[in-house]
Parts: sequence; structure tokens; C-alpha cells
Amino acid sequence: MNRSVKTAIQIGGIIGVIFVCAAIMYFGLADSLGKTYITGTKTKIIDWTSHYKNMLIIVMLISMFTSLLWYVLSRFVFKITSCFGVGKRAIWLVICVVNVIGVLLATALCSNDTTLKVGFSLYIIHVILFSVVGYYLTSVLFTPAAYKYTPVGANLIKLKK
Amino acid sequence: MSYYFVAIGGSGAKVLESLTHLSAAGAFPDEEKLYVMNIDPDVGNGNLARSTKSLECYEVFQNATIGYASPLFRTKVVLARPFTWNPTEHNKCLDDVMSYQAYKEEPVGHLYRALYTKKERTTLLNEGFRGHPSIGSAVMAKKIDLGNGDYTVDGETWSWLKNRVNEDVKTGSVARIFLTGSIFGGTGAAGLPTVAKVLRRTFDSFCESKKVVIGAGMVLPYFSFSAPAKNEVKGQVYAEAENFLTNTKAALRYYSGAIKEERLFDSMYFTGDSSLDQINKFSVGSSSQENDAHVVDFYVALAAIDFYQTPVDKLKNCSYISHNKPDAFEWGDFPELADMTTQSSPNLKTRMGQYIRFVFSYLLLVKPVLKELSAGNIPAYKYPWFADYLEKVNADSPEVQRFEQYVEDFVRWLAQMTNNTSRRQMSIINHDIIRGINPSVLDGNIMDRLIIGGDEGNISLHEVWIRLCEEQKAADTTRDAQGFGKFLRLLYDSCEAR
Repeated sequence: MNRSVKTAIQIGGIIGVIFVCAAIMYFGLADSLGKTYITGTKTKIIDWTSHYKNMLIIVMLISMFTSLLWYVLSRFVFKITSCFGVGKRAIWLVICVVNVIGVLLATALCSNDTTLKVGFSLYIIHVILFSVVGYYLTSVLFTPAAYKYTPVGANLIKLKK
Repeated sequence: MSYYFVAIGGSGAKVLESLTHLSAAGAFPDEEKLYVMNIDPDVGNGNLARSTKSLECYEVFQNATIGYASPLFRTKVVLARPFTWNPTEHNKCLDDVMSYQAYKEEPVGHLYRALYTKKERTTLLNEGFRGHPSIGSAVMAKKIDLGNGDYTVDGETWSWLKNRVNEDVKTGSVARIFLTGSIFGGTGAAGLPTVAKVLRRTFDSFCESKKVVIGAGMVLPYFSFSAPAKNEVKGQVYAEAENFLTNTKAALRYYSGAIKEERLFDSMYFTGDSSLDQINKFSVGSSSQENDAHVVDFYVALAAIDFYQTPVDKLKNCSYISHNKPDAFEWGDFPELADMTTQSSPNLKTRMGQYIRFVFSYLLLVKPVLKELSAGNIPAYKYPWFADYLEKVNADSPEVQRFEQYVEDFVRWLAQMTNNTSRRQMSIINHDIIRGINPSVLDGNIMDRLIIGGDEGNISLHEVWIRLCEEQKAADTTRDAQGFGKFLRLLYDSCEAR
């Protein structure tokens, strides 16, 4: 497969996986979670869902940005001119931390709105969907060949030749 | 068809070094074996030691299973055992070889004394014939028994050659034997015609029917050196550069006659240089006689390949070649190759270019870390190619060790050859990549400009890395490749100009 086509597929894959995570969250979980969080308040579920949608878009964009940042760095920016200084796991980890903090911060800041009352479980679900799946899994699956084993555990998950 | 290469003397050994690299690079026309033997009275000769080292390394790692349909390591070399035939014995002088004491008082003894000075007669021949073909031809004639017309020569090396050629001819193959040596020094000048006569006589009927063809690469003068200080060589016989041209003239006159009278060779290639490189280090022989690789050696090795690839009925008596620009050598100055496996004519730049990139990539990307990776001192995730192909390979195996020695030798050879041509530029590789002969100071940033005139084929180190790490299709050609061989094959394929 042509490398440009492969790049397009990988970028599409990253965006697609995160978008699917957001869709699962919005269409599958948001309604039931919202009902739990608004129990005992005057907020209607339709209002909660409407506000949550904005939060979800922000969290999704943070996840996409960090995942694509790693992809772009490893595909286009890091150049190998010797056998030293390769791997770049520290950078991958820093972006991972940025992703988790970003997802948590966005969840916390957006829930300051009185209409959008959230529980601890939403933080956990966001981290699972947008950090573990959105960043970690997409980097395991779509990191370019030169750094394919940089994501922790990728060498265990990916089939070796 | 089988290929035989007989290196004679120090110059022959240097050509052999170039031929080793060309055979590893897949410059030979097909997958036939190359049988190699050497003739030198100076068994400690530095040039010989160097070329033997490369050849012995190649002999080990050539067996790596790299799969099919690749020029890489395609030509397998088989070395004579023992590799070198020494026409003199240890600690013998000309008097000993000629049994002078037995003929001392006879007329032939008087004639002998008139032809050779006392120094020439009594100097030990452990360090060769010291640039004196007159000594060499007497020793060769005596050892090969030219006087009786038997043209027989004893020794396991010769039996090995004879048996191999006979086996080839019996199976209907054509044995192509190429001899190489200088015609201006001692051993080569004395050995070339004598060995050719022995081979002609030994394979007489086969030569007539063209089942055995003999070619020669005659090395003409291409270097010079200042006369040594008197006290340095007091009482010794040594080669004198001022005699090179006289020796050459006499030798050429002889070969000119030999073509008409006895047809010693089916094809001859004469290679020399009008501008003589000045060598600063004088040596009478032995380990200190270690001259840098030179483009003339490379040309003679290419002449051998031309001899192997040219159909027997198209071999020319004499061949010559020149280079386009008086002040530079370029890829286009070298002859084209013929690949009989693919029925194509790959140019040398493409084939050597890929091989040079392959060697440099190994040196820059793999060698510095392989041992540490194997020992688990560096995490494998950093090097996907290691995790994919080399994790189970023993980095201390002879195959890996010999290959690593070889690549360093290759770079030294390339550095010398591309750096050591007086008053002319070697526009073949970007010499800046080698900031020292030691490969550990190679500059990886130069990789994308490595092959000069190869803009369409140069590849950055980054690109090689990516190709090596990308998913490889399970092509038929690499299906049977395994271990270190599989990795080398993938690295070589990753260095292809695409």
C-alpha cells in the first residue's frame, strides 16, 4: 500500500475511533448517566444532554488533538539520522499525560455549569473512552512503523513478524 | 559455468579485495561459484592479510539464508585449501631453490653467477621476490619444472584447482580462469606467464575446445615511492620504483610476442595509470607491505567480471578502457554489468549504490546497538526492526561477528579507494560521510547525498529505517529467509533506489 494512502487511512482511523467513542457516549450512555446525575434536581434530561453535548465535543477535540499530535510528530517531525535518540517514549508519555489532564480538566470545567451536574463515574468513563481508547489504543494501532512499538505494551499487542 | 580467480603477488591480493566486495554486492553475472586461490612467496604480505580477512569473513556470512532472487551475496566464494601456494619454502634463498651448491663448479653454475648478483642469490625469499622478476621467474621455472617441459607443479592448492576444473568440465561447464598480478614487480611479473603456461598445459585439450578459458588482468604501474635511505635497506634486495617502467616495457614486449606465438591467454586486460600515486611508506615486504586500495585494483576486478560475463566467442585479445574526464572518475567510467539471471544490464552505480547504502545503513543503524540490544541493555521497543527480526538472533554468532568485521573492512576499502587517487577526484560517493577511517565516526546526515550522481536513488537514513520497520509482504523471495540473513535481506531491499 502506498505510504500516503496509509497515512490517510491512519489519520482517518484515529479520527474515526475517537468519533465513535463520542458517539457511543452521546447516543448510548449520556441519557442514562444524565438521569442518574439529575435525580433530585430540577434539571430536565433534555437540558442536561444539550449541555453535555458541548462538553463532549470539547473532550473529543482534546483527545483528537493529542492523538494526532503524536501521529504527526512520529510520522513527519522526528527524523532518524543515527541509531541513538530513537523511541521517543518520553514524548509519547508526556502527550498521554496531557491528554488525561485535558480530558479531566475539560470535564471538570464544563461541569461548573449548574445545569450540568456530573458524577465521578463520568470522569472515569471519559478517561476510558478518550484517553485509554482515544489516545492509547489509537497510538498502538496507528503509530507509524518507525515508532510502532513506542506506545507502552504495543510490542505485546501488535503481532510481531 | 564456474569462475576461478588466481591472485598472484601483492597486487593480485589487492585486486582480490575489490573482487570480494564486488561479489558480495552481486556484481557477478549469475549465481555460479567463485573459486579463489592465491600465489605468493610473501605469505605475511599485508595486502594479502587484508584481502584474506575480507574474503574469509565473506566465506562465513555468505551462507546466511537471505531468500531468493537477490543479487546480495549471490556469488558464493570457495577458497582453496591451503589458500596460498608459496613457490619458495621458508628461509630459502635463490641459491637454495636453484641447488647452486650442486652446480657450483659446472658451466651452468658460472652462467648463474653471471646472471645474478650475490645479494640476489643469497637474500631470503620469505618476503617475496622484492620487485625482481628475474628472481621470481627463476624460482617459478624451477618449481614448476618448466625445463623438462612437464609443466607440473606439486602442492595441495594446485591439486585443488585441477580437480575443481576437471569436475566442472566433466559436467559440461566452461571453467573461466582469471589470473591477476602486476607486470612491473616481482611475483606477478614472474608468475603470470608461468602460471598461464602451467594451466594451458594442464588443461590443453579443454583449452582447445574452449571448455577452459584463461584471462589475465595485468596491473601496470600506478604508484611510485621514493628510494629508501641507504642505511634502511643496507645489504638488502628491494623493489625500486625507477625500474617499474623498464620492467613494464619488457613485459609488454613479451606479451605482445606471446599473443602471436603461444596464445597464453584468451583475453587480456591491461590496467594502469599515467599519473603515479606517491606512496610515502617504503616496505621490502611482509606485513608492512600494506598499500591502500586504489581505483586501479577496482578496475582490474571489474575486468575479471567482464571476462566472466562475456560469451566465450566474444572474448577480445586485449581490452582497454578510459575515463571521460581527465580530472575525475565517475560512475559512468566503469563498465556495465550483465545479469544473466534477469537477462538485464544493471549499471554498476545502481548495484554498488544499493550495496554501499546497505553497508552504511548497517554501520549507522544496527552495529552500534546490536550487542547492547541483544544483551537487553537497551529496550527493544526503540528498534522495531530488532523486535521483529533480530530478537532471537545470537549477536555473538560467527555469522554476525564476521559480517560486522566485513562491513568495517568494506568502509575502509571504499574510503581508501575513493580518497587515494592523485590529482583526480573520485566522484563516486560523497566522501564527507566518512570523517575518519573508523566507521564509528560516520555521518548519517550525508546518507541522502551518499551516491554522487544518484539523485533519483539516494535515500535518507530515516527512509531506510521506515522501510525496515514497515510491514513486509510475505514475498516468495523472502519466504525461506530466516534469522540474521532475513534481516540483512530486508535491510538490503530497504536500500533499493525506488
